[in-house]
Amino acid sequence: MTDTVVANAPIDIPANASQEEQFMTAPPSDKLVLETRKLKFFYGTNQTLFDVDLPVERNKVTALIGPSGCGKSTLLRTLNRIYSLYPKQRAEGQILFDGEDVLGSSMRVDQLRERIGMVFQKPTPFPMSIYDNVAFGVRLYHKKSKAEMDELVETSLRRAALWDEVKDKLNTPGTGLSGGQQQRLCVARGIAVEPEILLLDEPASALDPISTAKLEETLAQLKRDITIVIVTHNLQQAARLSDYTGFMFLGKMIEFGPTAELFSGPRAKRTLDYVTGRFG
Amino acid sequence: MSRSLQRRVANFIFTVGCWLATGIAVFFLALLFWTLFGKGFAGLSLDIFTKDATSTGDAGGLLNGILGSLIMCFLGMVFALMIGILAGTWLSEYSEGSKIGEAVRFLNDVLLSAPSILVGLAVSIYVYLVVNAMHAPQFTFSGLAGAAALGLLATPIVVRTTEDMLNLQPSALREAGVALGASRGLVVRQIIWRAAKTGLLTGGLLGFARISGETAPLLFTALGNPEHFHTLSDLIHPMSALPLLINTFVTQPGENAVAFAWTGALLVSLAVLSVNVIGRYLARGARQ
Amino acid sequence: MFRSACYTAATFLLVVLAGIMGALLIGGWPAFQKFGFSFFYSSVWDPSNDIYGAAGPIVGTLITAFLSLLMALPLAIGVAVFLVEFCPRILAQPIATVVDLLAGVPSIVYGMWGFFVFAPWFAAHVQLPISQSFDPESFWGKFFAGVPNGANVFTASVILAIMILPYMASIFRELFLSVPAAVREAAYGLGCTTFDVVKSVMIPFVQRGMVGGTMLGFGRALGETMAVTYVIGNAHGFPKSLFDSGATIASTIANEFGEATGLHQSALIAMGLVLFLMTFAVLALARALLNSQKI
Repeated sequence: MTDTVVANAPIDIPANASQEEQFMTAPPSDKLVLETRKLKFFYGTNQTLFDVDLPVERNKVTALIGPSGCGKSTLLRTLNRIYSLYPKQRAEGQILFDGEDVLGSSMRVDQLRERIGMVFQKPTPFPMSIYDNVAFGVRLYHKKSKAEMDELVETSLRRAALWDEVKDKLNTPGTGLSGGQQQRLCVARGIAVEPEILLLDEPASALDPISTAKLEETLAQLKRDITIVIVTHNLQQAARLSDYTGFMFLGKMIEFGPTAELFSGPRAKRTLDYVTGRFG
Repeated sequence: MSRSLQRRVANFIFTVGCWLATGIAVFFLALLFWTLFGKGFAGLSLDIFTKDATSTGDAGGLLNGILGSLIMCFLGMVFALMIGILAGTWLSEYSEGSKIGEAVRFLNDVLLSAPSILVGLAVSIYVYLVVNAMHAPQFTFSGLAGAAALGLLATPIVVRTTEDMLNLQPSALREAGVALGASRGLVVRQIIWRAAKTGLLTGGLLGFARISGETAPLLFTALGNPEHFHTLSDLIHPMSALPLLINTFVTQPGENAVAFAWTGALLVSLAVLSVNVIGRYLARGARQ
Repeated sequence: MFRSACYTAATFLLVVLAGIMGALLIGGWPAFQKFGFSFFYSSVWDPSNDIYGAAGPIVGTLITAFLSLLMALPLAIGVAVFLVEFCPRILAQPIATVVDLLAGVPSIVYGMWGFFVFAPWFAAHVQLPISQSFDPESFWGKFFAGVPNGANVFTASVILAIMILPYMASIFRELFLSVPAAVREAAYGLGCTTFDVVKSVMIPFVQRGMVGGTMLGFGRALGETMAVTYVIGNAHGFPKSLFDSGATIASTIANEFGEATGLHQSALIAMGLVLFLMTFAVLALARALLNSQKI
């Protein structure tokens, strides 16, 4: 009787995570393509990320998990400085990308975004043809002949597992595709510029299971030449897809390590509670 | 009387009142349109569209007015769209938290309902000053001045509609463009404007509908002209417009003049109504 | 570069507003200078002797706008409530669309109808019988005195009222629709009649918006030209009775500016400035109220 009561006892959720211990098992530093050090994030005067260290190994999939509001999307959005669209938001600390600090004043944002791409939660096809969608990013940086561009578009669509479905209708509007196809179009668009890192913010949350499966297949293939960082609230997805996982809670990175270890034997109690579904 | 009965009686009176109010409103407006359509259609003939109006309105048509209205409204809209879309874009994309933004938005709404005769008056004053400084008083009245006054009246509508329509676009769309490395301006021009193009068109149509029926701002700017538009240089001379002709004919003695006035009124009303309908239809589609 | 182009366009609007005021000030200055404050309270308007006092048109503007509001407001509320509460659902949207469209009909159409249809009818069927049933020296006789041609302050107000009715009804309807369904249903669930719900729940909920909408209608009525010019009679003095001729600022400018020169012109422009400031104040207040009632 007493055992049952204890097992169902409510979890205590503190107001902030400052008391929580951190457990980090980072990949070896020579394999890292990107690393955040003591990253802080502010929305106005409100601080939402607290000294976050995130190591990202090259050509691997790193997943960020945690309950709603833990800061995983915020963290993702610092990596390509997309937050700079909003004057009230700012980041402090360091984000080292190939030795250079992303947050530094000498970093040219447009060049950064050629090397770090992003796919959003809701599919965002541009109001133009499928072909133009994929070509959009490329055209920002390079002048390519029609033949070169055709080839690039085809390659990107193939890598996104969309080519067969759209090869006969490349000139139709991107908005005419189904949700799952639109999202893969966004992936194709993102990889057309051949970035080193692709960031994905809950890319399958708006998709049905079949489209989700197709998307996951695509990501599994892509990681051979692109580093992937994916935010997901779907624990099974993280377990399926990723090589490394970071668990975040109330703006702090609580635990980070190889996915298999984190899921089967997490060292932080908070992590254990989350992955076993006791909260979140 | 018990409270409950009191309330029921009050409700009954109120309900009757609302039905009555609607009935009265419908009655008057139906009466108005009955007259408009009846008398307006009676005067319709091919001549209306092929002959110019005579000063007494005993024969002829309304061609000079029709052409003049079309031209001045068109030019006015070109102006209004250029300024209005850019201004609306600034308000929607760049003005977050800015005091000037709040001021512009506020004053734009005031300009939206400003008396149209005063806008025309102000334009005519400036034209007068400029024209006198250039010692060219023959240009005091012109189609261009009329178009300018109309353009100023339509601009606030375009600004408002543009801002509303651009605000409807999801922020993720902007972020997706920026995430690829495009500049803010490029994202707005190549993605956001394109996504909102139906809505922007609606703004243009609503603006056109508003100005095509305006009389007062044209009284002292375009003045009127018995001849219809022939060449581009006619723009710097006085120009006719349908509402101006209607205005002249209303006060002319003689049945024919009055008939022309009604037909002109019908044409203007049909134009305004149909453009409004198309505009709203498009806007509904854009909001989907 | 693009951003500055957009910014320039936005600030251009500020320039336009200042420009309009500037033009009216420049043009009207000679009149202000010559007549000073008497311009506002004298109703003497004598072009042959170049003496101008704008009190008549100013008062006329205010009276017609106020009267039209008095007539249109209850009707507009009634129509709005009807469309939201009583109208059979299938008819509600089409009628609402028609009301919205009517708000866009050019004012000259209303003016024409007033001149050709309403005014003669009014003269024959209202003014004549009334003037015949009251002794001209009695209170009511004096109240309703006026040349029975239908061209007076009252008719002008009626036409204005018909014109601003669809405009205000459509604003009120949107305001009523913005009341959350849950709130209305809660009230009905407590046993309220429709009148109770409208009076005690819906109107208080949107009251700032309604005042704002009313002021928008008022502002519109103040500045109308063509709906009023044909039927107001165009006399410069203070209207002495309900059916007396009068003038509004807009109608006076429309009628006289074409032929006016010198000080006469300046006086007209000066009146225009007065109208501009009046409508600006009313519209600014209206917008502030409507904005604070964010839907």
